[in-house]
Amino acid sequence: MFSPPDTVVEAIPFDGRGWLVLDDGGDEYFVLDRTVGAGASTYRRDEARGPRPRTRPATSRPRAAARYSAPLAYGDATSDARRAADVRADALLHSFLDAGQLAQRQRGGTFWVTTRGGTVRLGEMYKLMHIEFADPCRWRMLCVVTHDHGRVPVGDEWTAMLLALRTTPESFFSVAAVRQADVWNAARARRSPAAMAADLDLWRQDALHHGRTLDAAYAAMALAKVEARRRRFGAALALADEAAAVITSEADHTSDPAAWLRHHAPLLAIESDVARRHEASCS
Amino acid sequence: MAVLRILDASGDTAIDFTRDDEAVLEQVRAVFDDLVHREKRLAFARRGDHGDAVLVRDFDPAAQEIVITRPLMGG
Repeated sequence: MFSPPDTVVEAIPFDGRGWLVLDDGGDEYFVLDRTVGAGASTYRRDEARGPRPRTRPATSRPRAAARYSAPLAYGDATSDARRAADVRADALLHSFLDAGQLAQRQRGGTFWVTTRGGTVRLGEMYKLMHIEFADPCRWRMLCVVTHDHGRVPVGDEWTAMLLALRTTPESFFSVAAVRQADVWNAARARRSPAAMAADLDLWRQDALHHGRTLDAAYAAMALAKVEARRRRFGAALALADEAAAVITSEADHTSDPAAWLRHHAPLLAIESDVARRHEASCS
Repeated sequence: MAVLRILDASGDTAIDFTRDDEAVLEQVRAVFDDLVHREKRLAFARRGDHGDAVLVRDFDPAAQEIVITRPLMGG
């Protein structure tokens, strides 16, 4: 692993430690304590530990550029090591989630990321649901992975996607592969509103069953729109009210409630539109 | 104390640094440049305790946390 005179960041694969060896004369050692549950890992100077002997002689060479050496691939590690890696990856991911997203992940295993280009559900590999707010009946399934897919814990992949969606959503959507184009799309709704309503209701019930209340709210709002087209205004209003309550309350659990509500305004407008049409139909 | 996190098979490899320690800072900057500029990985800097992060191309010693990920691709 060592290749003098470069400085090497050496991660000892899955024994719970790693070493950062500096080429600054051989007297300074950094030991990485990766013990799970011990808090943030740190490199400590001059505290060489463990059974490994010092392998670098003391010299007076100047510092050279540092280099990172990746540990053994995730898939080749022992199950204990993979579990430890998963715990670390999940802890990092959770530090980037707001309270609402964390609750979603704990309840249903997935969480939604709201962007300028709509909202994307992360947490189910190869099946990232993307909803365009302009039309809640317009859904599509995306597939995005990291370049080291399968060689890192899945939590790390979600972190990479989450950060990309938050900072550069356009680049996220530009690389995404559309797995199943517009499953419940507007064209289908026009062709067969009854079939569309049945699909949406099935998805809504399934989401509720799995504790995915926000999924159910999105499905309910789309269903309300379809039911209104079928002139079933009472059912549409009940669905829209239920969905709007969930979406509005979810804003309180986000880091930026105003932005959340602004992004969801087209969805919330469906409720007022359905209410107006329901009132007109009763008069 | 700030930290550079490189997402990898172990979850992440974390390297702590402070702005006051020029020697360590130089090493961390070299690791950053190697991964971001040579290997074309993505770097996100977090300045507060919250999850807000920004994509960065250059090492930012003022960041509280820098997370380095692999780029994304369609599956």
